Amino acid sequence: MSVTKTASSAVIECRNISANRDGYRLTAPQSFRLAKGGYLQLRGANGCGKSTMLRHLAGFLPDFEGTIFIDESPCAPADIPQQKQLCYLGHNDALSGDLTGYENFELLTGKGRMMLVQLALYDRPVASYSAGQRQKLNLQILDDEADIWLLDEPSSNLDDANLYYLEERIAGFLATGGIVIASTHSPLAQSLVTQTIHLAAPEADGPLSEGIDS
Amino acid sequence: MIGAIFKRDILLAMRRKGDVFNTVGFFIMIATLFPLAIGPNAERLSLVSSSIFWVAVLMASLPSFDRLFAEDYHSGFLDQLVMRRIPLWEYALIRIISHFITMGLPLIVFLPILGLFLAIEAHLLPMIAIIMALGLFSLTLLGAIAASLTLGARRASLLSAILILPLAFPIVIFGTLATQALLSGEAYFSHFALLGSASLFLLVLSPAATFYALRNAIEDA
Repeated sequence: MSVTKTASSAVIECRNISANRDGYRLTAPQSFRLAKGGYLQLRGANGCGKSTMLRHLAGFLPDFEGTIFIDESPCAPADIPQQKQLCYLGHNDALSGDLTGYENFELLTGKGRMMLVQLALYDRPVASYSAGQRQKLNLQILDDEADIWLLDEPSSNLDDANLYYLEERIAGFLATGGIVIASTHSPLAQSLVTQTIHLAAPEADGPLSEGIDS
Repeated sequence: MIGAIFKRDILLAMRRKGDVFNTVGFFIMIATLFPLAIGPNAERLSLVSSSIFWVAVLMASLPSFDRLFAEDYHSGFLDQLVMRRIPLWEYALIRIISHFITMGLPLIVFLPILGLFLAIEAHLLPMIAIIMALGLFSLTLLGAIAASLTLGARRASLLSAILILPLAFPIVIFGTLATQALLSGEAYFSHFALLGSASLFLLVLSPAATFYALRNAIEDA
């Protein structure tokens, strides 16, 4: 992680990777290259494999086709979290409803007392939060020290003020050399996007000829 | 982080007292049913009391194992642990220990009430409590394997019960034999030692098996 790289060298590069789920290919193979400060947006209809693609990259679903290069050298999918510090923000927010906002925050970030007031959140059990409030609290998982943020529709429930907050966080992270890969249905820090991939179902939709279970 | 998870588990157990009371209530209910069926004859009861006792321990603890990992799995908390490179076997072990403290110890606290129903002499209760604690800890180790294997499955609680019950036989058998020997004033240590060896075996096996099962469940999420 401490290896210094020139700005042009890719930190993460994927060649012909496709989102596979239960032996079915959800997307046509895609390739992308991201250097420091790179921001990739995954777009596409519901069920086209955006979340699955992000879970591939996070190392949760190691069975997929294609090759991944980290710092220009090939890397097994399961090893990505070892090579790079990742932050994954999924559809499930990892919050416990019976813990208060502060208790959840402390557990997930390991940081000391934070002003929940700054986030305009009350220190109540999270079960009483609205969907947007939960998502806002969940954004605190994002760590500026990480190398890559993997965001799965991070703004779906946010109001304008919090959308602005998220865009500011993304801008700040990209400025310090971070990499963001986000799936989204609505505009999210569009001016900073360096690459967009429109995911679509492959032409022949069916089981993979070569078993990916092996 | 591992320490923080333990702290969280204790905190959650304090907030969800209903879960503990359900388990304890179920435990006492099962043990009460037998004297009702057999009759209040102390002599006849003492013949079967150790078996009744261990059936009650097993039945009362079974439903609680579903809660070991299901919540963290569905909330995405496990994903975040993997992202933070926290070894899942460490997480599994700390969950087993905190589950034993928050679910197993309350059962032991209510042992004297059961002793009353089952005509167990009061001076034997401390040793029974120790045997019970060892048995409950072994059952929790076993429960962790089953609970992690059935994560994400439909009807997971029934499936995990079917998985646990046959494997729990040795624990129940050694526990019953030790309790029976203790109640009838015979040497109980050999049975107690066998129960101890079963729990040591599970202590080695369970975190590793649970690790692989959790890993697998995350891939299927």
